[in-house]
Amino acid sequence: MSRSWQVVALSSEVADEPFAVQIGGTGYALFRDGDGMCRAVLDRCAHRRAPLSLGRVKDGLIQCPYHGWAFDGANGACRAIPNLGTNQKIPAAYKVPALAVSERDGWIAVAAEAHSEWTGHDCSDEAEGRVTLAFPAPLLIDALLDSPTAFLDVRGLTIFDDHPLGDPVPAQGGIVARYAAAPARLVRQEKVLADFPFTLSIAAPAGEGIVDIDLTAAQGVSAGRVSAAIVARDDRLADIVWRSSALSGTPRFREAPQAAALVRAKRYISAARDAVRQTKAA
Amino acid sequence: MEMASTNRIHPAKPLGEQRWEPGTFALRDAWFPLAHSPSLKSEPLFRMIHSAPIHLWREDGVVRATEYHPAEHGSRPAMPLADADGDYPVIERYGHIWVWYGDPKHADPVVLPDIPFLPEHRSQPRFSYGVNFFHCTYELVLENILDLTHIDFVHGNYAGTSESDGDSISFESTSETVTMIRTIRNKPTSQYQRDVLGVTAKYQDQTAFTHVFIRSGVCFLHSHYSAAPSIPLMQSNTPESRTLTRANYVFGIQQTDSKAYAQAWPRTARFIAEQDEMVLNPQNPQYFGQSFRPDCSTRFDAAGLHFRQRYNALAERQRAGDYGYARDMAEGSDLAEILKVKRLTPRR
Repeated sequence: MSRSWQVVALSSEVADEPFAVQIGGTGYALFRDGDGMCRAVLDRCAHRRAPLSLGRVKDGLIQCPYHGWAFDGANGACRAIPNLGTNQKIPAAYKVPALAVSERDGWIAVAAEAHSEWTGHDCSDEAEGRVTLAFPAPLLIDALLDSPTAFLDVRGLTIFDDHPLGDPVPAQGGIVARYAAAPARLVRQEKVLADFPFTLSIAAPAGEGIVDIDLTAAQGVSAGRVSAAIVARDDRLADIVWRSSALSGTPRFREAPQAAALVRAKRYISAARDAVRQTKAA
Repeated sequence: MEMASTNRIHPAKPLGEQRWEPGTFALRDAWFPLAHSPSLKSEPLFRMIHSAPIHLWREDGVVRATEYHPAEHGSRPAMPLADADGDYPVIERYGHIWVWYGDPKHADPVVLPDIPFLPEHRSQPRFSYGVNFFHCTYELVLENILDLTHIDFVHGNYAGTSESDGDSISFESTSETVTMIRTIRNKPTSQYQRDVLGVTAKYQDQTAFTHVFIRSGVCFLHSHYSAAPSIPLMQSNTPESRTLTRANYVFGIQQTDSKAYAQAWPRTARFIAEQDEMVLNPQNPQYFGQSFRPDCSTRFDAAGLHFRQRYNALAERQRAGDYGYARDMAEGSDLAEILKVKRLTPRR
């Protein structure tokens, strides 16, 4: 588990029942304690390894479905074992690893330890969702920069992967790539577009973070945003946890046929990142 | 809950110093009940033991068990666990077809489990037997069976809650078996007993017995209630692979005078198995490929930990080439007395 903050879930996904997430091949159970604070513990009971995420929350503790052992989300300590008398002490070593959790702006972020405060990521949303793709997370971010339609479509909008608007540029420690976009109905009417009403900007962070995809109309007027946290479930699968606002159509993350072609052509080794590196070197 | 151990043989070292790695070793030289007798006809059935394929069928009234399908039998070289003709040793008893998995020269009917509550040479009625599957290695199923504390949690609607005025567990073992007995006083009557059996007593006493055979996974379960009927259960828990256990089950319906109960209780087998499957299925991969991190246990896990010790000891012996049965196996108490059932067949 990384020491830096990583967004892994939406606030709305963690309610009364435990919620399971996978991060880097390891399962964690998210749940809300008695004060409504979001907690995250290893999704494996210290007793007989049953997934805690299949259990329930009782008295602010996450309770295993197998034998009822209950754990404190603040530090992972086992606080209750059914059948044990109240005068019997539970050994301090009986615990599960607990992550630091920060909940801001509708996102839930976790880290191995809270070495600094997570600054959050402001995003109002009208739609949100989660999807799992059979594509490695780091490569997925690079591929989004190089060819956004390989993984994203927005209903009613045509994005032109082959019409970049300028070279990718470094920005705020990450990279921004821009592409032309137009309403789908306009594309159907005109054979070749000379001008494009929209710009799609993809801002990918330097490391773990949230990818912001902004749709901008003429004169910089915002036409909507999709913010997506891309989580490596393991080395082959990625979870995309997304929120969108003001977009006229619902965004959909999926692996389009050209995603495989990208892999074969090795273009996913980030032409955008290469371009930025060359710009910096110059 | 009180704990008392009457185990006769104390293992050399505590489990904490040993790894528990279920599904990584195939205990052999034992009889495995692969099919209910009535299901075996001339058309071959396919079964597995530790991923070894076995084809079963009746040929002119004789039960055959071979590695290869009858159509291929004789055309391919026999494997070490079959005899020179490619047949596995086989016995039909207690309404089951038992196959010897191990060196055919060691196949001995003497080590077939003694099942006091089943008729020796005929099958039970169709409503009293069936099959369930657990998507896990069989060792976890046996731990589940020996672990009576999960019953209050996972099967609370059938068994009642964990409240009681007194709760004690004792266990004993041989080199091949582990037995656990749990005695509970004034336990709330379960919803099933109230709603289906019409038991009006709010509280009753319960004594639950489990007895497992470590090599084969065969187990017996029986619960006595002070105000409700009960019948014992035999379950095969055959290790088909590290991710699948076949649980052929049959109930000893002759142990109750209540015909209605004898008909009704076997119907719950599937639902109770589904409740266990809900935890066993996701639990299984947690034991594979994980870094060594001992499980935490309490005194209520004593029988299960004892099972782990006995299992590890057997595996260690077999890794060294010793597949024999120790003398203590013949010294065990009469199972009919342990399970508190009336014996239908003479003790073997």
